[in-house]
Amino acid sequence: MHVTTIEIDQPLVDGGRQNRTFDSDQSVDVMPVISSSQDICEQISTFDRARANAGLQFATRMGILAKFMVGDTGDIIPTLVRGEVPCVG
Amino acid sequence: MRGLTDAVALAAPASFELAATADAATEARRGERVVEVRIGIGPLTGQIPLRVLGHAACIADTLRTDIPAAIRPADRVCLFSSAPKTGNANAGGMLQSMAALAGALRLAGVSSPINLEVACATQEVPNHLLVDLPAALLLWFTEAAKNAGNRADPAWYAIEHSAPSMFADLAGPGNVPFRVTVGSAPEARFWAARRHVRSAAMMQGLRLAPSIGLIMRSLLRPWYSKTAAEPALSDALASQSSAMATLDRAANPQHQGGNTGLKREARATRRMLGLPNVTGLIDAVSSVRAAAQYVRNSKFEIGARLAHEMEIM
Repeated sequence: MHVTTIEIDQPLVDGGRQNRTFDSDQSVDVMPVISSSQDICEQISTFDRARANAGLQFATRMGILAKFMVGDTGDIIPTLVRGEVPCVG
Repeated sequence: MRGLTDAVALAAPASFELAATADAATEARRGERVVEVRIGIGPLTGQIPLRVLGHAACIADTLRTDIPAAIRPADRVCLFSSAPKTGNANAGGMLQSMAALAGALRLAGVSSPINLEVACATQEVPNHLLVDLPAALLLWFTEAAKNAGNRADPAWYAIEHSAPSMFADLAGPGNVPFRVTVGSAPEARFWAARRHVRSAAMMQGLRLAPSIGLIMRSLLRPWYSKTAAEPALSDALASQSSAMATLDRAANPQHQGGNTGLKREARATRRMLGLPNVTGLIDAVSSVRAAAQYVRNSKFEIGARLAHEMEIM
């Protein structure tokens, strides 16, 4: 019923990497997670922010945690490093 | 929490499908839906490479670890040849390549039922679906088609990946399985194309089969597309150690023609060559006639189109 700790590993626009932990005690609902991840990803490009959100959305809904995701053009990108994701349903 | 190994990248559906996919995954985990793994095999561009053994071992690893983590163990594994969609009519090559991969999966310990089939040569995705592929994807498909000897229009071929005889995104009536695509890195581009098809199908009110993809991200070259430096599977009949040494060189970028994208499969091939019965498999797929016999004698399920092809071989 609760989200959790999700650590995101994302490239930054300046070429570095961002690795921060997101904690939330909000109920299992995709929207708060997405909303909070906006803050996590504020330093990265809009493109990568969308990808990070997609990873978070899917992880939360499905309860599957994957370090790498396939992007919307078929490229393979690092997304989530580790975390506690609720298994909904 | 269900964690996937770092060997795979998760190919997720588009956001409009997240809820339906999650619901279907829950049903599949409860045993209310069949879990079907679908693996495509493109046209052979030369001989069957020795690397097919390692490729099968990599798939077996994913079947053992990632698919149970994502959903639950697969109820069946469906291998299909997409060669007819490319204008390739070499039925013998399709049979041999499917028999080699299916046999290698068995050697690697895969015990699920394995179904073998060939894709329909004709168009299955309806014309009225308005699929608009991004220019970058189209360019990639065009370049890939040149390397693969694909005679079909690259965009058409990419869109047809959603066809019922391919990855079966378009669902028929009844309780459709939860489908899991497993493929090497190039399959990720086709997953992206399939998302566009699924989106167009949703706009038309068509029914979609729930699906996710597991992309083995370090496998950079399709196994059925042998590099010039790679040994053929049949080379191992003369000397396994010599064939393995050739594959190691082919996977080493410091050697001429070496390709680092073959490395994981090369390491897995070494493991496979140590298994009993590997010589028997290599022998069994060395000719079309032998492969047909092997497929009939093994407990593989043979699809109707492949059965027809085997009758007229």
